[in-house]
Amino acid sequence: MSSTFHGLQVAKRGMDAQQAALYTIGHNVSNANTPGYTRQRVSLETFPAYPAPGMNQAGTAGQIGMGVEASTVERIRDTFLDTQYRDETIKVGYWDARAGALEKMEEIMNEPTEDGLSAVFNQFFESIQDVASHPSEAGSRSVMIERAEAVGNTFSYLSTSLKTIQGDLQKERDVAVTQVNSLLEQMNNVNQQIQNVEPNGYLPNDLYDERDRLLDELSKFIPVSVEYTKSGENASAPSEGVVTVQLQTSRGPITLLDGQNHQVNAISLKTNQDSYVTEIHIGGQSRNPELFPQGKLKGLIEASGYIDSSGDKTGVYASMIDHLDEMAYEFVNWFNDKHQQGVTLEGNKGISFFNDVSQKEGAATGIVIADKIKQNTNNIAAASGAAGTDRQGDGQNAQLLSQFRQNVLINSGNQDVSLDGFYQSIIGQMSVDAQQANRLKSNSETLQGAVEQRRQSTSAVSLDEEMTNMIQFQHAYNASARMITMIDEMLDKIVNGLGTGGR
Amino acid sequence: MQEIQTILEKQVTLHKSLSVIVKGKTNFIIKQDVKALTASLQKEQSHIAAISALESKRIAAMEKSGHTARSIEEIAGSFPEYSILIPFQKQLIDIIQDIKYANDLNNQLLTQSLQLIYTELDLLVPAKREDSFNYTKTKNSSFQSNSIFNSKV
Repeated sequence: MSSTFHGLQVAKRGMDAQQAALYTIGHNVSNANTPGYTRQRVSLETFPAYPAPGMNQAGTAGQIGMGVEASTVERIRDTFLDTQYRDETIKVGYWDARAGALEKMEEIMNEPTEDGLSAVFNQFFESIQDVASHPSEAGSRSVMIERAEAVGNTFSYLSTSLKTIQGDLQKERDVAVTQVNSLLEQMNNVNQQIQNVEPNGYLPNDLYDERDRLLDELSKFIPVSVEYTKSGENASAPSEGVVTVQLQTSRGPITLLDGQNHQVNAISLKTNQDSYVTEIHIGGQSRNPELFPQGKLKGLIEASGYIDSSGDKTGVYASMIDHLDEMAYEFVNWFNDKHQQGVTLEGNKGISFFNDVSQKEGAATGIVIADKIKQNTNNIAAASGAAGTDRQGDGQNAQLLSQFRQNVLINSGNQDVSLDGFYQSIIGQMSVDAQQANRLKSNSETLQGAVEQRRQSTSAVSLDEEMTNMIQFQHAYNASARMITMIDEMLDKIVNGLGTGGR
Repeated sequence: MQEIQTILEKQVTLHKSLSVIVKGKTNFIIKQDVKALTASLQKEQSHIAAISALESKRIAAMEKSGHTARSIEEIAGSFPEYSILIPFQKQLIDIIQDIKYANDLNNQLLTQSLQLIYTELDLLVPAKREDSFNYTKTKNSSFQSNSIFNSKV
């Protein structure tokens, strides 16, 4: 036979449990707009029955239950959706960085417009043609010099602007590394807090939320794999434990955050004097940037330039700057060579038109017209043939010079192409790359949006649902309270009403 | 010539409206609106039928004009009067590429949601096991229930 006050205890447990459920609803509702918040649910269980049924027990038809217990408060979250979301976030990060870099480059190159390099080439070509048809006119000769200056200025403007943006991207890249390291530090802190709480049998749901938010944030920059380790014997079954974060590279994983030992292996970039990334160091291991996995960080490294495993400069901006240097170098050398073969207006042998450019690197910023040409336009070697004769009406060499766009040959992979062809192909490549980056960026954003929606539909707080739950639990609470009143009346009967029958 | 041009014009308009449908499908997939998705699939089917009918008409017209199985670009190279068809061809290529990219995206979106569905379904339904080594080569065609509820148990 159970105790006289048994019912009081059962009703009290009912009130406690419904109250816990109501408080959890309150927590959900108040966090409806908190980023990264996952709705929580109290799991209600019947309280362990007492006493255990046995032979020597007072016989009742069944066992009288001991009421309810609010056992755990759990988060409602689907880890598979988290994985899907993070996979897409990695792609968004990578393509976003790449598309941004290419967009800025397209703005600088500004093709096809009147300010682009090809338009400046056109004008230069026209001015040489003018000299070819009117070789003795000083006017057309000075126009040619001005146009040549414009070519030099355009080359140097393009090259320096590209380098400025590259510098900005390098800064952005360094900031990204700092952000990744700070995220890892924050995650380490949350891990430690979780490990302090879990062995007491509690579920630190809000800390789990915070950790998942940090992981989402981290997956913008680098793709990581996540492992969970239980934090102790006494931790309750649904507890998640501490997290260990690893970076997947093509040469095996590297641990970024060791959950059990609370150790963070920060990422650091090793750069050369031009701020190109040569190696990426993580916790005693190093990888060539080429082997680094996709993500925003990789996108920024690719955009701002790195040294690949064969020791060459690679990268979106690096290759464009190199191409411009190559074009400038070949152009200046060819033009000087042909110019030297000509004869000036005064019948002298031609000299270099531009100052000599000895090496490819930096050639684009070093196109300067030779002082002698600038000082005296007659020094333009428009004529051809032997020196010393009167060459007033001869524009043959200028005619030859005007064909620079077809005749300057640049080695492109396995064959020589003309200056025009080379320029067209690099501009074409740039716009194809930009188009692809933009398309994949918007695709992965759509995919990310779709998963996010699905994730929200499981984990986000639905106010309607919380309202119905509130009514449900409130009714149960009221009913439990009513039970207490009823039991109170029963006890009143025992205390005041019993034993008075014979009076 | 004139005939080919009208056919191409029709093809361009049809592809344009097909591209609108395909892009609409993206939204339906994201919203998981199966009803609307089925409706647009039907529309898409009728478009495809019309397009393939036009395509066979175009081939017939090309044959009639004596340029069997050659691209418009090739013909325009040798017969200048055909060069007015080139803008149509370019437009068509652009639209078809657009449709292809939209379909790629739809494909990825579907793969993504199916991944989720299969992972959740796999938790409920036991997977059929294939014998790795079957020396007797007997066909293992015994009926296996694939429902969530196994009545034999």
